[in-house]
Order: sequence, then structure tokens, then C-alpha cells
Amino acid sequence: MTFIAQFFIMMFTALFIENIIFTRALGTSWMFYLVKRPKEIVRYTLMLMAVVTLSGAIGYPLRSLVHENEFRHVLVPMIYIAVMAVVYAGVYFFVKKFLPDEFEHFGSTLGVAVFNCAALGSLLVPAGERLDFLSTIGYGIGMSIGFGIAVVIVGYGLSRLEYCRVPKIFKGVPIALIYLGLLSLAFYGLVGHQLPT
Amino acid sequence: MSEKAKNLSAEIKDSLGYLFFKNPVLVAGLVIGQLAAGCTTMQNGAALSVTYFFIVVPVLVFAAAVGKNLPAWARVIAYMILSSLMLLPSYYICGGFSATIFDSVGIYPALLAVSTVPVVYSEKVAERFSLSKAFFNGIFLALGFALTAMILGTAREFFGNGSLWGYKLAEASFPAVKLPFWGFILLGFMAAGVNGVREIMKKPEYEIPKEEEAEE
Repeated sequence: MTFIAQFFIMMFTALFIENIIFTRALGTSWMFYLVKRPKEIVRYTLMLMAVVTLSGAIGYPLRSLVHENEFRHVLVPMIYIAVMAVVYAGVYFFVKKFLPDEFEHFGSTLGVAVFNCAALGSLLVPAGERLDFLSTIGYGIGMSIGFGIAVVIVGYGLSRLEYCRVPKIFKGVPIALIYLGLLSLAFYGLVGHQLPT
Repeated sequence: MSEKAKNLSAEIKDSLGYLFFKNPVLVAGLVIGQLAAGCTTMQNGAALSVTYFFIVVPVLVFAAAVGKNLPAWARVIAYMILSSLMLLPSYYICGGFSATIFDSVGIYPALLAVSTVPVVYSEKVAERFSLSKAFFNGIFLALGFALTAMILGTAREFFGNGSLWGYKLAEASFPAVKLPFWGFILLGFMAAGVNGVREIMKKPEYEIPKEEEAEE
């Protein structure tokens, strides 16, 4: 029972308190790509969840081997990237063989759907905090759902901004970043943090 | 001037834009998270810049040299393995200016290995480049990133800690500036600054290259 409680607490933590976009700033470029393709948000969120869960499960015993190593800052990412490469190859051949229509549609973006900062970050944060197996998986799932929610919130806001009279030099990337910063500040306050003084 | 020298000069001129008017962070909106959350001091900015340089240049050159000869499924894997291996030399070099730099900057240098340039740009664009073009593209993409990282890191360390490169200059500080939301806001204003300069100089708006436009 304690294990299950731990799983859900870590999921909740990753979802709200340490939201992947607003608190950790992971996968922002990938998020800006997805906000222009709202129909694909669910698919890529599920893809992210699958990659993080599979890589987290496979990589957990391997990462434990290098926890005390002085090169852990480099070895842990290398292990996880190697594991993600195995997951990528598996997904690539599975989708190509059994879901050819899907492969035609999103085969070209499969690489970035697997290898992105959101996925690797969701694996490296629990590794850095030395979370146990269930917490690692729960954290990864929470991060993935948090990513999907963040994409929807940011996408909605940015679509509204298109109707606003934004000064010319702020159009595009600048206003998107400032909006993301303000949302991130709002989230920071919402979960009960106080600004450091 | 020989044809070869002319081509080389054109490639350098084309790549030079990545320093400012085609800056990968401020104009293309890439690698934002690593800077917003990880680049809180000058040393962190330097560590991220060194790591980005060691990842981007070899991966783009490798993509131009052998990318087309690899099967489609193996390309991204090859680029990712190479970029993760390039974390090792950057770790050694960054350790030279601060033994605890990777503790301070956290997971963000490692995340550069799976950022947009090694994952997407190398496969969709750089595979069609000549070796020299890929090399200069990599150099100037890394320099453009470094310029942004150093300015952001300097500003955040000065206002957040009252110090520069670890040397205390002032007692008063504003630590909140080191939080990710301030990173986003500062980057937004820096991006607006680039747009402002472009407007004043009447330079055309930069469009991110698409697969078909990269054909030589």
C-alpha cells in the first residue's frame, strides 16, 4: 500500500509541483512545435509517457550501477540515451510493421518524439534524486501528463495572443517566451512557493 | 579568387547569421529550457556553451559526412550516441574552470545532447550539406548559443548573486532572477531586442529552413 501511495504522490508532485514546463523548463522547443499541431498533442503525450515509462524501467537497474561513480553526470545520461535508442528502434520497427498507415503519417517525427528534452529530463530528474523504481515510473508518468497539460494551456494562451495588438518587435518568439514566463510565475505561486529574498 | 575560396567565403557568410539575426535561441526559439532554467551564472553559461559546441559541431559534420549512407532508422540513433559521447570531453573541460560545475548546472548540459539541432536539424538539413558548410554551421550555431548564454548568465549572476564569475561585487541581490520564469522573461526581452535591431537595420525576417529548402 505504501508503495502505491508513493507512486501517486510522486506522480502528483511531477504533475503540479515540479511541472515539466513551468517549473523545470524541459521540452519547451518541443512544446512550441506541438502548440501549432493541437490534434497531435494527445498522441505525442502518450508517446512521451510510453518512452519515459519503458526507458525508466529498463534504465533503472543500469543507472543504479553508476550512482557513486565520479562521472555519473555523464554516465547516467549516456545510459539513458542508449536505452532510449533501443526503445526508439523497437517502436520504429513495431510501427513500421504493424501500423504502416501510422508510420507513413508520423514516421518522420518519430525521432524527435523519442529523443527530446522532456523525455530525457523526466528520466534524469528521478535519477538525480535517487528515487526508487516505483517513484521513478510515477514521476515519469506525472511529468508526461504535466507536459500535455502545459502544451494545452500555453497553446490556448498563444492562440488568444494572436488577436492582441502586440508591438511588432515582440511578435513571435519574444511574446511567447514572456507569456511562458508569466505562466510559469503564476504556477510557482499556485503550488505555494514563495519568492526567495 | 578561386571558385573553392568563393564557395567557402559564401558558406562562412551564410553561417555568420547564426550569431545574431538567425540566433538559434532568440530567433529560432531552440534550446530555451536549458538556458531559462540552467543558465543562472556566468560559469553555468560557459559550461552550457562548451557542451553545446562539443555536441553540435561533431554531430553536424558527422551527419554531412556519413548521414546519407546510414539506413533511415539508424541515423537518429547514431547522432544521439555521438552527442552523448561528446558529453565526456565537455565534462573534462568544464571541470577545468570549476570542479563542481556539473553539480551546479544540474541536468541541463546533458539535455543539450537531445536538443533540436542534433536530433532534427542534423537529419533534416545538415545531411545535405558539404562538410565545410556543416562545420561552419556548427561553429556559428554554437557561438550564437554561447553569446546568448553568456549574456543571460552574466545578467542573472549579477542581479541574482551580486557577483560575476563567483567574485562578489555587491551585497544587495535579487535571487528570484535565477528562477526559470525570469529566464523565460529575460530571453523574451533579448529576443525582442534582436527583432528591434533587425527592424532598425531593415534586415529581412529569418525563416527556419525546411527540409526541401536545404537542398543545395
